[in-house]
Amino acid sequence: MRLTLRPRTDDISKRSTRFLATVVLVLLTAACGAGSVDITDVPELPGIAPTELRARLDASPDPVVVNIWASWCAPCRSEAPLLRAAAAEWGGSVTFIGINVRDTQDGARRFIAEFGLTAIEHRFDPSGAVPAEFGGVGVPLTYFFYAGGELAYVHRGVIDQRTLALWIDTIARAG
Amino acid sequence: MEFRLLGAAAGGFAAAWGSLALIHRADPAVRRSSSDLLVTGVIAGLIIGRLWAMIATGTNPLAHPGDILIVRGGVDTIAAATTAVLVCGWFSRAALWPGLDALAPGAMFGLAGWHAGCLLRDACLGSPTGLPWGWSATPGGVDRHPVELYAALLLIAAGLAVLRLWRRHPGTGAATLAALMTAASTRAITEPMRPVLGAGLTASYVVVLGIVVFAGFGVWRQRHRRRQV
Repeated sequence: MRLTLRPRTDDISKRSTRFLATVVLVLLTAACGAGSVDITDVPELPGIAPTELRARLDASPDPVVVNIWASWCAPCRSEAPLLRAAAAEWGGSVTFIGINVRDTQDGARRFIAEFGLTAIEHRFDPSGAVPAEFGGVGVPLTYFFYAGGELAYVHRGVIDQRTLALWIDTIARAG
Repeated sequence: MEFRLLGAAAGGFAAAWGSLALIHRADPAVRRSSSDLLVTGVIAGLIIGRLWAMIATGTNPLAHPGDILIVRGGVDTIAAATTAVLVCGWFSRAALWPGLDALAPGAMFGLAGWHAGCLLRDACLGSPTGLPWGWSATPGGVDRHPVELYAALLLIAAGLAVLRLWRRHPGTGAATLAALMTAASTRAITEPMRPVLGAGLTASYVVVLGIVVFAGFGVWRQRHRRRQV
């Protein structure tokens, strides 16, 4: 007769479930609030008109990344941590501007606080005039401008890490 | 944009499924089980890889469950690949090595198809290069390594080697270990050429090197045993 030391299948199943639940709990606890700031630290967003942004880009000695976002936009939430990381890494040589569109001040400030996007300069555009003028539909949109304001690339939809890093590197090298 | 990503994923899946159908054309049962295993592994890998990426960037999946579907926002490839391998291993545990070995060459060709899909996504380019085959993201810009195409070519070569190994030593685990080693080596070789946020040796890169060493040792041990026999 063969002796088996293998535990019963339902025991394995219970242990696996407990283990997985513990792992998920630990990871979620670690994830909650990572990078976020207090909403009272986020000021009201100043407004911006397309002409003002155009003048700002033309006069900029640095390359500029302009991200069009809204707090109700789920894909914007996906790319927010990437933009925070990019601004932290490239903030010295590349200017990051976030344009909040078709949104409320409270919603925008909550979003900035949740993702800790305080290293990015944010502007408020409730009518969506900026993307309408710069050519783009929907959110999110990410524009990459060389120093001096020439458009290098516009990314429609949620951006991934590699595309973001590639285009920041492209505009930074040209500058 | 999202549709181009889907197109690249479909290319990878078609390469894997097509190569499995071709390799196992004489044995429909193995063909079906390998394809099912592949689909299960890919789906499980995508879900866990996406969850891992969300958690790593500070997004709570319980608060925003719909965000799991936005795969373009990031999938942690190490978590996804590890999950896919573990799930495939779990579901073929009754005959572990024969099951995984039958899948290994198709998985390599599928990975190659996914990387070649960068042509659909405009996402082939990496770090700058002076080599003649580099190309630029913008007219007159800096030439760059087509790093995803390097990965695709390396994986095709590796896939052919794994296929040969599987034909010579089926069901021994040699093909699986060789696939793990060559896939991780491809990643280790090409990763420094990829554009990333942040610099330096990342934790995922250390994991990749660990897989290369572990699988390489397994391959060496198997060869050693075969010689002794």
